[in-house]
Amino acid sequence: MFNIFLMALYIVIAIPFNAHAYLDPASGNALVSALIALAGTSIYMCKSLFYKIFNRQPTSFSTDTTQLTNADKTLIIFSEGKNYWSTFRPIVNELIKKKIYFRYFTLDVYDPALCIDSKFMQSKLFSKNRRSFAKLAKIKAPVMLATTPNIGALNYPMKRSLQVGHLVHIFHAMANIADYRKGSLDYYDSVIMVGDHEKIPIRMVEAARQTKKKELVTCGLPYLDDLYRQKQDLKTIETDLNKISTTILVAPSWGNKGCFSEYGTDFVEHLSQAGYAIIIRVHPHSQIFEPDALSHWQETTSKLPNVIWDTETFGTKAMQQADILISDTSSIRFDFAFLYNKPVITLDIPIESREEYEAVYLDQPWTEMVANQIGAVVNHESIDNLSEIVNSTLHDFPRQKLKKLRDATVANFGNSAPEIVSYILKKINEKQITSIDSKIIEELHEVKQKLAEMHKEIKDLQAAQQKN
Amino acid sequence: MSFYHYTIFPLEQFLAFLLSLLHGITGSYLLAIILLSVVVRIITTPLEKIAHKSVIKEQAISSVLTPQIAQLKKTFKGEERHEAIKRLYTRYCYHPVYAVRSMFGLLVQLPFFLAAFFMISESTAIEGVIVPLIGDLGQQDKLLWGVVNLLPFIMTGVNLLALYSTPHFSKKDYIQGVCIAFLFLVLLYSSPAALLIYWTVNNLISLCKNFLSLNFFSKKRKFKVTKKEKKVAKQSQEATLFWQEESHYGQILRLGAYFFFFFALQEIICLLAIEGWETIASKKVFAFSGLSLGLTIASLYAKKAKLKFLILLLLCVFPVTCWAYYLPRKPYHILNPNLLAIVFLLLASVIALLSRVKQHNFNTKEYFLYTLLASLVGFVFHWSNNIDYLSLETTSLYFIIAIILPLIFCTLTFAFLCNTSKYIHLEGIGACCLLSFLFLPTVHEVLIWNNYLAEYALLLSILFILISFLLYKKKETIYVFFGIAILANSFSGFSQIISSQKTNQQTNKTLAKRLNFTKKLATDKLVKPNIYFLIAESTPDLTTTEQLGVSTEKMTGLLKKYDFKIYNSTYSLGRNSLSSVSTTLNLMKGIKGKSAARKVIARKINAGDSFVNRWLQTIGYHTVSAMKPFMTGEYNYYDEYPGSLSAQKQIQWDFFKIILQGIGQREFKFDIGFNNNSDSNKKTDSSQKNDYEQFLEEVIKRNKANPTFVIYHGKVPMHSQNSGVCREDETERYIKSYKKGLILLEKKLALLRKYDPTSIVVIMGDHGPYLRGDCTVLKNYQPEQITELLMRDRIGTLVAIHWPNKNKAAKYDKKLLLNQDIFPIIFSYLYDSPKPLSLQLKPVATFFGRTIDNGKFL
Repeated sequence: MFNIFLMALYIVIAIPFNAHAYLDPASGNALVSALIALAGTSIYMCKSLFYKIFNRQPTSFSTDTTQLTNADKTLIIFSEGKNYWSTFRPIVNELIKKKIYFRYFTLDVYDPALCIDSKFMQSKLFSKNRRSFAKLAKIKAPVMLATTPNIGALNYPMKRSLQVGHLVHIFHAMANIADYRKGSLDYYDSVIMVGDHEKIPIRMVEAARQTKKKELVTCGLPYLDDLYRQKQDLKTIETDLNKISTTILVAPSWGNKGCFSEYGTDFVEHLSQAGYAIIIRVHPHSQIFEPDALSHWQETTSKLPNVIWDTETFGTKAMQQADILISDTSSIRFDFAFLYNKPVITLDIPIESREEYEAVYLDQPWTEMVANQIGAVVNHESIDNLSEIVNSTLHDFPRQKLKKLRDATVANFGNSAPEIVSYILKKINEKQITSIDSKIIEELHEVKQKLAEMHKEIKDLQAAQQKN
Repeated sequence: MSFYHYTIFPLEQFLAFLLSLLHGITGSYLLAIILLSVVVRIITTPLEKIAHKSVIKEQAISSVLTPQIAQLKKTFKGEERHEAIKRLYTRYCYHPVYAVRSMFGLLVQLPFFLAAFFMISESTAIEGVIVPLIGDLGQQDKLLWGVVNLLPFIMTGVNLLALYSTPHFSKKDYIQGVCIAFLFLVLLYSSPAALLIYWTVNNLISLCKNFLSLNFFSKKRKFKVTKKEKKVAKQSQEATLFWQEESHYGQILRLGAYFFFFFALQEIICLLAIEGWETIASKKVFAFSGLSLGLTIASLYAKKAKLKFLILLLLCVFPVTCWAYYLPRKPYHILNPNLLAIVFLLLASVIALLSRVKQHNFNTKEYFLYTLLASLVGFVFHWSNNIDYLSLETTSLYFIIAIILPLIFCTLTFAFLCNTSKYIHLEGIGACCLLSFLFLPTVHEVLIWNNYLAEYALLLSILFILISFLLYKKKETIYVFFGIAILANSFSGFSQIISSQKTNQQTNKTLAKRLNFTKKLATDKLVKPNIYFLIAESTPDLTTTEQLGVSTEKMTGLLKKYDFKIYNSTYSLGRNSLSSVSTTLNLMKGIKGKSAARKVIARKINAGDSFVNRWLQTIGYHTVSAMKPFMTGEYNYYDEYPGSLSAQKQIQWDFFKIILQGIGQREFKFDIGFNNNSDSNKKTDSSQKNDYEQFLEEVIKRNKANPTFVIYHGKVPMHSQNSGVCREDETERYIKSYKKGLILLEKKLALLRKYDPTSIVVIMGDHGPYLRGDCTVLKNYQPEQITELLMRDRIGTLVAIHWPNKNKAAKYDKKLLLNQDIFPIIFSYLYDSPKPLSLQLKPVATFFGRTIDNGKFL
């Protein structure tokens, strides 16, 4: 489509009639840039043509042409953007290490995966528009791996492609199905679970929504593995805050589930007045879905002493600096507790605020059940005593409980990717075998038919001979 | 015709229409121009948003790619580097040519500015409009000491402020912007004040927008995202369900509903254009709207949902409309039941369609299909009414245009629609209606009026688009094609220029040779009376006029009164104005070359590059032309020519109305807007203060130092409306117009008798009125079906001459049978020599297998 547009543009530019051209100041810059772009394009095209004609030596990337022709038979990893790179990085590394060809589709121009230049990885950027989603709804692959909940669901722009043999979901945080919106996994064929504790909620949702039973497999959480690796790499930290006192990381979730939406920012002010250093790190979705509210929160907290806002892509640095975390339903609580072995204060969010989520099908979400096991839980009644609760949790909470909980709930901690990759490969093989099987069955059927016809002919011949 | 005619011209007409509308509302041209600027900015806002998005997208991708490319350049060399960069581009689905996305903003703004520039620069309406403080809107302002223009400096000041307040501009951008602001100051310094006001207001809006985006006036809003999200989610949920449930039958029926709705709109436009509001009640509109509504409901039945609502609507509306429709017609009133019936039914079908479309998911293929089919409906509609005029070649070209224009349109609007709109189909169809209405005059100009260059450009465009479609999936090939196309295009354009120059040179050589003949004539008896060559539009000879049922009594009386010699049963060798007049003036039968090229040459001849004009100029005549631009094109070889007069300009001002009128008359041929039979042209007739009529009068009245030759082409009586359809009252309309022509003619003759009684005055019809047969060129008639009357209805022409010396004239005018005989006889009269009579052409006119030879029908 874009080519057609280019062609129309070309017609405007190239036809040799009077140009009737005038420049205006506002658009002159654009014109100059465009002219430079056109010149650049011409050079690029000439180079392409030159190398195509005069140099036919195969490069290291063009040797394996079979993969290009069989691209439809390779695995697809679908990512919504750079925020999910932590989840996919260990898997991508493992696939490249094992020399497995795969495709990586992303909706984000800033996705670090696009920087990887490997012949095993065929990356492609899709725009976030309906046209791209329409294209994605037609892709062919034996298996597609995605963290995106709600693919194929009615209220989600991306539909599940019928030509994807097996759709696998992988969690992108220490969350579970309760935190997803309704219908999140309805169109998935299987789910890679962090631990066995996720099995029951998924089955409960399936029963409530009367959807087919998904294949559930426990492999671990690559996201946590990646954060763990980052933590290992990040040995020294430049301190932004005066390390005069305890540092609290406040990390609200977004929308109704966020503690800023529920409790406001007054508690930050109280903690600041109490002498704590505070780092605020909001969910990336807040910038997209609640920009007005975000700017309001920033405005009200920016004047407070010892409060800074963290805007890094990964929260590793902030978590390493903090002594304690205050959050709500956000999965960062578990990242903090499991990776840094530090306590967490959970600000309670009433269940009524979560009508749109799968949580309504569950008695109590797992994350709420274990909130007390990673620190303290604060609600509207006790919010005024937050400063004291912080102090007591820091001093009294037994840290060994955190490690125990992690070992019980996270499978293959630190190295889940090999198991995930082997599961995916198994599914790809199954799909290929299934297609081979169906071919054999078809052929057998044809042979049977032919035999039956021959048998009939022989009988007819015999009958004719008998008559004669 | 240049590329301008495809792009800016329709916009220019649209802006002209808007300006006249706003002037009508405000009563002030200053306010109208300011409002026009505001309206244009409002219209282009969505496009600007898209352009802005593209620019942001380009910036984002470039910020990611630039450091990576720099790194690759460090790491690799030669082919390896090129391959690595290529792979990088592939990963990001990018190509360096996409950087032109930064020009999208310009693409939105520039056409409107150019259209405004041409529209205001060429406008005669704003000339002489005096505004307090500023002065004449059509002139430079000269506000500083009566010498220096102030408005350009104000405009530049606003530009610079707008530039300074633009967010996200780098230092380099500012320097570029400032340079261009000053360049613009130089370019527009001597422009009319109106244009500067338009552009200053435009930039003022930009300035305000910039301030707004800098949050100077923004208000803090409360956080209500979740509710909004819920609503959107609910809508999209419904949409998906709806789409999943719909059957193929439903889709087909819905498609039918759209088409009939479109037909209904077309019919309404016909009615509006021809009949006016007072009789707006047509069975066709009623039937089409009803069908549209019925099919919508049927399509809903196919999907078995939301049926009750629409059945209820039908139950309410249908009986009311039926009752109203069958009431006897009453004189026009705003509450006319007929009108109400149509409005109700149309509204019902609109609501029904909207309720269907609203819930529809976006689908690219469908969007293209519906849009294409919708505009094809419009094009087929017009084609079917003009079928006789369009050759096979032109028809195919016409339909290729009909496909290409919507496709380009779809491609350009795709991004806009898929991001913002849910009413895709109606928007697509509506936009296509507008597109086809706006582009039809352009298309007709391309096909009918002007030169081959336009067709060449069009064919080339079509070729590009078609091949780009074929190569759609092979991206690399398309870029190679770009290169080849540029070369081919440049070569082709170059060869066109050379060939057109060749034709010109040949024509000039022939003319020079022929003029040698005039030098051999003896000049001792040469007399030089003033000559008035008055061409009466569509006026046949008197016998034919009588046979057509038009009384010639008054015409005969008038001609006798003013001492004219009437020549009987005269005819022309050309059957249309261009060919008839050009052969008369050039004394050569036919012009060689392609149809479009022939038209160009014929226009040049009519514009004075003719044997007659050159000859008269050689013997000392001052030649004056009062011909409409249709006859002369953009050329002039006469000593005096007033150019396009206000009457023609007025037609441009009324362009939108004329388009509607043309569509209403089911034709888009050249005479729309020139047709004085229509009452809707009163405005044009009344604004004649600078018309050709007045110009002619001035020429007649003036004292002439040199002998003068004046050529004038009148507008009345005018032939049939050339649509290929004979109206019931075609002859009555002609008679009415014929009478009007007589009044104008008498006025001229009276003036001539008073101010120039010794001049030669020629009254010549250019061709017949086309009142019989198919009211057009009898294209589908067999030779045996063609009668003498049918022939003379087309080529029969009135020739009447006032001779200062009748006896002398009688020596030479015995064999005057043709229009083309007039000038050989006049020259014989001037030289008093029979030699120029040798230039007379054979009086043989052949017309679709039948011939009039020497005045006899064979």
